[in-house]
Amino acid sequence: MTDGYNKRRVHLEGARKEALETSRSRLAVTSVLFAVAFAVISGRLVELAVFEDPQARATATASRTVVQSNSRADILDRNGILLATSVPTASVYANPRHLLDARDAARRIVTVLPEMNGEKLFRRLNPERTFVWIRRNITPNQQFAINALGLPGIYFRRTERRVYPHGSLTSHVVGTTDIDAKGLTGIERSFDGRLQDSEQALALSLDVRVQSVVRRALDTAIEKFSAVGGAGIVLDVTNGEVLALVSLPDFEPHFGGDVTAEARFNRVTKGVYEMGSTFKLFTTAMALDSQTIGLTGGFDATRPLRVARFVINDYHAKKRWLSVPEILVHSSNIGAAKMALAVGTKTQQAYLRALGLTRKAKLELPEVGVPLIPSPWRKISTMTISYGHGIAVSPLQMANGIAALVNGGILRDATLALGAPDAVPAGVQVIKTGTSIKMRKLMRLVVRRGTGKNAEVEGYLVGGKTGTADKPVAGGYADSRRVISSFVGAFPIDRPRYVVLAMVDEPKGTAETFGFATGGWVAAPVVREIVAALGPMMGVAPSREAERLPGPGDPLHIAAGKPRQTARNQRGRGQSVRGPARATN
Amino acid sequence: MRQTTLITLLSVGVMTVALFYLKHEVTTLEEELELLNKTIVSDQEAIHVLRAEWSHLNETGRLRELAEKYLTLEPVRPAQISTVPIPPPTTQEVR
Repeated sequence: MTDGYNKRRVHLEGARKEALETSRSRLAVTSVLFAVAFAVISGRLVELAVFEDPQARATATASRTVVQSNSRADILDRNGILLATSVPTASVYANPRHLLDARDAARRIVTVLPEMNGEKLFRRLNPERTFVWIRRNITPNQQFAINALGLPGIYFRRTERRVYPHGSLTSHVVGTTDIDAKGLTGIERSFDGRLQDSEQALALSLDVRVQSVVRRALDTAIEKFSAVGGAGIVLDVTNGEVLALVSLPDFEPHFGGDVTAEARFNRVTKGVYEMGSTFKLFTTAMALDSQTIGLTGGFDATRPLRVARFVINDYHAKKRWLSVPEILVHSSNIGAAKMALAVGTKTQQAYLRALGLTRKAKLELPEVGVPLIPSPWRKISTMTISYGHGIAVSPLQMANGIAALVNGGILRDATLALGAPDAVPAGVQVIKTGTSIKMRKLMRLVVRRGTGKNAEVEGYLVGGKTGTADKPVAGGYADSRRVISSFVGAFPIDRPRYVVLAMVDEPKGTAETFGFATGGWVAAPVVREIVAALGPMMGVAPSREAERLPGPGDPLHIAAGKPRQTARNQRGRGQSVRGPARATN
Repeated sequence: MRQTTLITLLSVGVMTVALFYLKHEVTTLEEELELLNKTIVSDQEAIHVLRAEWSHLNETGRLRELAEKYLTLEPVRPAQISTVPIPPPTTQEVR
């Protein structure tokens, strides 16, 4: 600001002055605009710096920490042991349009991946396409080697591979996924959406330790008796949680397609079988619960029962009047059939329906079998169903029904999802608590005095029932050597916590079992082995008190009979039996 | 006038240098962050794979074999479990 400048300004006249005035007013307008703009910016600055703006703070402090995303959730057992997880792998693909020489590229890739066929690969590299998978899930070494080939048009993509650290141990429950990590079978299928959407691991009610014990015990029995397969399940009767679910033969989940249908088949949930005498527990429970008969009542089992063209025989024939406990202990078909007749078809149907034996079981697996029930339900059906023939249910349904019989009469659907530690899911009262207590005593009696002696475990009170059912074949029943032997037990029977079911398919008798392949000889020892390991593992207190044997006069008294192994032979059994009324044990 | 220009020029210079350093520092930090993120992801993946391996190594059949081979321990039998009888309440507790 010099004086000369001011002086000159004053002396300006005319057109020059006018021009200057115009520019001066333009300057003023611009200045005002700029001033307003700066004021707004300053105001915003003050606002940001002085006043708290949570959103701005969040934007400023947001750390761009990238966590591993879009990976399929893990599957855990009840103790947090990893059963299924996804590990990152690389997959190699080609863009044939970018390839310089497809034949040469194929030839050179095969040098790194020798299991591939170069000619086939070349044919797949169709120049029309822009994306061709060459190989999924290659090893880091292979990735390095392919990279080192320096081929244009060959790229890698980060993919994930499903890994099952426990292999075949839980293959039927956990299931499998396809190459695009979509659930195909088992939990992988039924919880597919949940596993894809959430990163949160999915905890199952399964316990790998129990699973392992059951599998080993079953496997030993299958080997010993040259059986074709087996099924085992351990159920917590207080909440319906499945601790172990084993179907043998099983399969290695990593081998994808190279697994036989036989191994894939889930015998516990998908397979339905005529379970045999274990059904007598249901018959007895419904007879007691409907007050058709009391513990002191009984039926005459002197002679085989003839209905139309069928004859119902006893395997362990006593040829006399039998009380209700005796019918169970000696596993009398005649007695059970007469009991069912006394109960009546309508009541039998109602109880079986209430126990969930006539509908598909509810379990979080896609592989659940529909039970086969007779239609029409004739009088003969009522009779044969009383001892487990003419109706086919899955071992899961069987175990679930037995759980309701022993837990105070409340049916809860079996579940594979882990619930809160002390949560008791709602259930349906299907039999009276009093009936349930009677059933526990009867089941204990079968193990102490009857066909289930081989299930006795030192320290734990096991109750249960054996079953040996002839396998149905087209048009009738197989010869009596093809049987399904099972044992369903509950322990500790004075306050039941677990139901254990073991089933062995087509066992063959051995010298050690005097040629017998019945539930008492084959499946009961499996349950004994499972209970002996399961009890200490789950912290079930052994019972020390000496058990009193019911004396004469007690309805539970069983008159001492001939020792079990003498008075029978395999050949005599069921020779006069035709149709679905074959004898069971 | 000259004073204002000088001050303005000076502040422009200072601000440019300051902005340059700030920007440089942010870029460095961002690079560092990216590196850390990469490390985190690769560590996460490694942990993931190790967890799978750990679970595989703890496979029950394998553990049983190893235990049978190297340990003299065996599974607990029911007979080995005992319950401690609850002692009668002491006089203090009763009060």
